[in-house]
Amino acid sequence: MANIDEKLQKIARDLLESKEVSLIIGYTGGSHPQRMRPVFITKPEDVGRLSFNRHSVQDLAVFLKKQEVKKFGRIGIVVKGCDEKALNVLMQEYQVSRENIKIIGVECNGVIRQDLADKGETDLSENTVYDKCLMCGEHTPILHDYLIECADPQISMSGDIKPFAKIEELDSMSSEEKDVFWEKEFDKCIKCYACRQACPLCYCSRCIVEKNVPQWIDTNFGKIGNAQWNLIRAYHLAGRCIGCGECERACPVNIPLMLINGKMARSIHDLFGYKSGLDVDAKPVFGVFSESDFNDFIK
Amino acid sequence: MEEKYFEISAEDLKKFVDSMIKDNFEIIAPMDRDGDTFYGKIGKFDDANLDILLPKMSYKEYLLPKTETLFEYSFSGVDIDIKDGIESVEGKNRKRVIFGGRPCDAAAGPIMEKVFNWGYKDDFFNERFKNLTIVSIACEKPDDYCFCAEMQLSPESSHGSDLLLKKTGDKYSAVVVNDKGLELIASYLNLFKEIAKDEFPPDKDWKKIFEIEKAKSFLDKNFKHNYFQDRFLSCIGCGICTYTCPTCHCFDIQDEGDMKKGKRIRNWDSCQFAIFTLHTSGHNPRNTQGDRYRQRLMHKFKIYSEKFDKYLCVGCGRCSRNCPQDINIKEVVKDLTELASA
Ligand code: SF4
Ligand code: SF4
Ligand code: SF4
Ligand code: SF4
Repeated sequence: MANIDEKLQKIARDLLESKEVSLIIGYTGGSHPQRMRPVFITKPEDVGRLSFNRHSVQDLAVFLKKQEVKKFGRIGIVVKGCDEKALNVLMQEYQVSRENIKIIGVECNGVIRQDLADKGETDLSENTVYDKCLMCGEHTPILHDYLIECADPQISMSGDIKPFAKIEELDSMSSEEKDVFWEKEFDKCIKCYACRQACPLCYCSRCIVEKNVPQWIDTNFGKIGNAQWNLIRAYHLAGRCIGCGECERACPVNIPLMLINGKMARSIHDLFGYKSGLDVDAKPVFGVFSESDFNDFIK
Repeated sequence: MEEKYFEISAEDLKKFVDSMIKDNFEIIAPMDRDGDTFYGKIGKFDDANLDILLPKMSYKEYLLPKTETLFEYSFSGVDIDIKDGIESVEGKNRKRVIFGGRPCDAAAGPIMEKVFNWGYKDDFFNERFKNLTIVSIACEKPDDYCFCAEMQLSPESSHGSDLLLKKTGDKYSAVVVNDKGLELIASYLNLFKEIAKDEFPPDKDWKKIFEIEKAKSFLDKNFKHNYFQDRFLSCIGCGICTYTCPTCHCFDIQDEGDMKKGKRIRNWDSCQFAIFTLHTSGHNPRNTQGDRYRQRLMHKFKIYSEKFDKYLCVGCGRCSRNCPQDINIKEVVKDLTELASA
C-alpha cells in the first residue's frame, strides 16, 4: 500500500511542481479506515495526503463537470479502469480535452462495497466487491499518462456468484411482472437526483427534470413522476453509461439502478455491437447513422 | 404534566406493540429492507429491527411527506371546484406511532414545529405532528458519526419524545414525558409497572468533542472564507444530506394539471441543488457548491439559532454516513470551532 501511495505522491508532486497541472484530484483517508474520500491538491507540499486502496470507491471523473473544478484548467486525476472509461466518453463527447488532463491510472482488482466496508469489511473477495468488478475487463485503465501497478491480488472466482444475475431473472419475466418489480423499486425514489449528480456522464447544465417550460417530467414523487424520472435518466445514459455504479452507490434508498444500466449496456451491445468508454475515437452510438442499423425506419 | 416513570419487560414490550397493532394503531418502526434499515409500517413487533443504531433515512416524511397535495381544482364550465388537501391528511386519529426511533430523531420534531409555526401556521404539518405519538429508545452505543451531545441533546435525551425507553438488562425503564405518552399507554397499563423517579436509570456523562457555540461564532464573522470553497470542492450537490436529514425542511410548490383539473402540490427541495437559488436572469447568488454547503451550515448553526432557540441539527450524523463523497459534518463543525479559535 505504502508503495502505491508513495508513487502517487511522487507523480503528483512532479506534476504540480512542473506546473503541468494546477490541480490533482485523488483519494485520501475518510471518516473511518474503511472509507476513502476525494481530495483536491493544489500545492506540492500537500501531496502526502494522496492515497489509494481497495476502498477507493468513488469515480473521480464526476468532478470534471463541476464549474468550480473546470476553472483549474489543467488537471491531474487518479482513476481506476472503470473511472477511466468515463473520461473516454467525456472526451468522445467533447466535454474534456485530452491535453488538459493528466491521467494517473491505478491498476485495480476490485473495490469493496461501501455498505460492507461501513460494517468493517476489509477482505477483497468475490463476496465483497461490486458486481461490476467481477465483470471488469479494464483492470488496467485504457488510457493513462502514468500507471501504478495493483497492490491487490486478482479475485478468484468460485463460479457460484453470477454478477448481475438479476438481469437474466428480469429478462425471463413477463412485462406485467417487470412492471410490478420496477414500480415497487421506483416507489422508493425520493427524487433527490443523487444518481444524476454522482454520475460522471450526467453533465447537462440544465437537466430535463429542471426544464419547466413546458414541464416535461412531473415534479411529484408519485407513481408517474418517479417512473418518468428513472426511465428518462436510463435512456439518457443508454450507450453512454460506462458502469461505474456511482448512481447506485449514491442512491439513498437502495434502488438497484445498475440493473437498468446493465440491461441497457447489454442491449446496446446486442443491437449495435457497441460498448461505451472503450474507444475514445469511436463515434458515440447514438451520434452516428449506419446503414447496417437494424431499424429501417430512417432509411 | 409531571413525568411518570415505569418499567416494562422485553416480553411485555412486544405485547404492548402487538396489542397496539391489533387495536388498529399504525406503528412505524425501523425495518430491514434491501440490506439496510428504513422506517416503515410494521405488521408485528418482530418486523422491527431495534438492534441497529439509526435507520438510513429519518422519519420526517411522516411530518412532511415527499409530496403532498395542498388543494385540488377542477373546472366545469365557468364553475371551479376546489378541494382542500387538509381533508385528506392521513393519520388524523392519533393512531399513528413512531416506535423505536432514536432521541435525535425525536428532537427534530419540535425543531421543525417552530419553523412551521413561525408567522404562518402550517396546518398540514401541525395536523400530522399533533397526531403523531413518539416512542423512542435511548441509544446505548452511539457511533463515531453521532454528535447529539455536542448539539445540546444526548443519546438518552427525552426531548421531543412522548415516551422514552431505556434498556436495562432484559427490561426497559420508561419515562412518560407528557399527556400524549400517558394516553398511549393508558389502555395497556397492566403491562407497565410504575416506579419512582430515582429508580429510573440516570443519564451517563456523554463526552463532547467541541462546543457548538464556537462554530456559531465563526459563522457570525466569516461569510466569506476560503474554507467553504476549498472544503466543498468534493461536494457534488446531490442533496442526500438534506433529504436524509431529520430537520431539513425546504419544499417547493408546484402546480400539476391540465385544462380540466389539477392540483397544487409541495415537494421536498434542497438548498444543495444549483437550481434552488437560480434567478430567471441566469444569476445565481449561491453559485458554487461551497456557497451552497455554507448555506446549509449557516442555516443550521447560525440563522435558525438566532430566530429560535437551539440549532437546526440534532447531531444524528445521517448526512455524513450517507454522503457519497464522505463529507462528514461532525468534522466540518469541529473545523469551524477550531477556525474560530485560530
Ligand atoms: S470495475 Fe474494474 S477498475 Fe472498476 S473498481 Fe471494479 S475492478 Fe476496479
Ligand atoms: S438517487 Fe435514488 S432516490 Fe435519488 S433520484 Fe436517483 S433513483 Fe431516486
Ligand atoms: S450528501 Fe455530500 S455530496 Fe451530496 S450534497 Fe450533501 S455534502 Fe454534497
Ligand atoms: S445536519 Fe446532519 S447531523 Fe444534523 S440533523 Fe441533519 S442529518 Fe443529522
